[in-house]
Amino acid sequence: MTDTIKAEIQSFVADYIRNHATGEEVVVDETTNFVDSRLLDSFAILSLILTLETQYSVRFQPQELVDPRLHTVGGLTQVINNKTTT
Amino acid sequence: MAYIYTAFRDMAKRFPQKNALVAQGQIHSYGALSRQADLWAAFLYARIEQKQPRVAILVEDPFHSITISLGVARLDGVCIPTNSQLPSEQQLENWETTDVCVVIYEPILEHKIKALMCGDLIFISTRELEHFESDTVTSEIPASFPWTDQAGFLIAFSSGSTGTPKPTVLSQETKCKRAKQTWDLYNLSSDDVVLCASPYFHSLGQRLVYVALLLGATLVYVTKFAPKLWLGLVHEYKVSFAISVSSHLYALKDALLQNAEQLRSLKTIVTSSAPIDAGFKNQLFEAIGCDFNEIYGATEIAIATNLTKDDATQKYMTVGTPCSNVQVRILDDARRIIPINTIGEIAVKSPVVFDGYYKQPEATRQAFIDGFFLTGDLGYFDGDGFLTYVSRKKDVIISGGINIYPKEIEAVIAQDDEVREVAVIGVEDKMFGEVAIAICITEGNKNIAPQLHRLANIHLAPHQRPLKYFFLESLPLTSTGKVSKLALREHFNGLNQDWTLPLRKIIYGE
Repeated sequence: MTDTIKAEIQSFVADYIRNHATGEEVVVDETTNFVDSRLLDSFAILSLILTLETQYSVRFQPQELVDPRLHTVGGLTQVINNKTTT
Repeated sequence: MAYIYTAFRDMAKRFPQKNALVAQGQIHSYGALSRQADLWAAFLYARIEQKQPRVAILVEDPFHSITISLGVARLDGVCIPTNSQLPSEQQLENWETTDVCVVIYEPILEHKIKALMCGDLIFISTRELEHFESDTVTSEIPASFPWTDQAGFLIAFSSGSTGTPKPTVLSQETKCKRAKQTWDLYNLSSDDVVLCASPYFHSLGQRLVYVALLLGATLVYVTKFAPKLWLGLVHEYKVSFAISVSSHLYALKDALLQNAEQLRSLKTIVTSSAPIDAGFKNQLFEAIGCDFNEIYGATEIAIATNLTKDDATQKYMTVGTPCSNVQVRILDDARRIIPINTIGEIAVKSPVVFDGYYKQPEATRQAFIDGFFLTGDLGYFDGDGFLTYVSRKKDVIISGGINIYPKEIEAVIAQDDEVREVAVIGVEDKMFGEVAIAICITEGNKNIAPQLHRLANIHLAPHQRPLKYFFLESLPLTSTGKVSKLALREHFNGLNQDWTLPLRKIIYGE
């Protein structure tokens, strides 16, 4: 069950990045860093975070967003998954 | 010249028994309205003989507001329709600005103005007319007065191009011409039944009153809007024509289709700045056979452009093409005409332009360039001559140096069936200067932020997307009945939220 939710979150995040990335045929997987890779502009990053907060009824503490692990698809997915299952 | 009074009296002579006004459960004939208007004229003439009556109308019953205005028109006086919901200090300020000498009020509103009932103003309750026995027949009142050449008849407060409410003067002649503009635009006749759901202090209320009554049509007045009442009155009185403000239309949207059978009398519904999609307009046409027209205008210029149902399929995001004899230009900040598909300020030259801001010649002069009124609105023309309204100039959100136009965002959010009304505003932000947020009205304040985020992610660029969605009971209104974005900005800036802190943490680790 948890794996299904996790897969759904990862798919949601990856689709968001794919839809926003400039350039063709962008490969997005769990290692993709959407901040350093500049796949998303700053407005799109902010929009992603706020969308995820409402979509999964979670809240990110500002300080935890400093952690670079949250800047990857896999890391962000894991944190949301933890928040939704605890 | 008492153009309005004369035009109305001609209709009253032609149709004395015909229903002129349906309001608050009463039906008034043209003859009855005419008698009451004459009574008001005689009463006011007797009360303030040597002065031009400058009358603040503080009443809610349309029978009173209409007959008082016609009585004042007979005396070449001036009406200042007043919103009873305004704080009394603001009412007094507006009356002082417009040199009001008489306030006519309904007894039910007396408690609201009691504190003001001192000084030089003459306060007259509508009840006083019930005891007034006129021994002055109106023919004994002179046809003209020492003040007849003064242009004003109606002074409405408009936000103008700068956003500060200004007393906008309209003469009787201008009001008559404006009524004719609407008759011609929508092929109205004395057989039409016109529905008005805006109070008389609202410019739309003032417009519809004279559109109906100077034509010999029947006016059905909804004083307290509710979708059920609106639908019931349309059915009962076979309403054929209505101009609706966008908030009413949102509330009516579903009900119009569900009750199509009852609404077959409707020929035309006109809306103003309502992001209603073409699909819905078509559905309504199929179900009721009713034309949807979208207009763009302002108190100072009346209707500038109109989008017909036929054009709506292709041009549904526009407000149509300029009306007959109206010229529209798009200007840059240096007031030069700019090319098509470029956003600039909408400037309008109209034969039914207002007669200036009361005692503000400088503000009046500055509102025009080469005879074109500067609307303070932004828009652009496409290659086919259709105008798109973008936003109020002062409502543009500048976020990270990019101009964001709230109307475009509001149109997307309004696509969600659960959204009844929406206002997008810019709030102060440390990182981008301003960011957009959306304030929505939903059934029972239901929080539907997740679906609105998803909708925005599909249809809006990242910089256009509202950062947050708020759900309120209602949107604050200005004294002229429009959504007060100023009040919203003040409120949400007052929350002192650090809107972009999550982003700064991510990017800068701040």
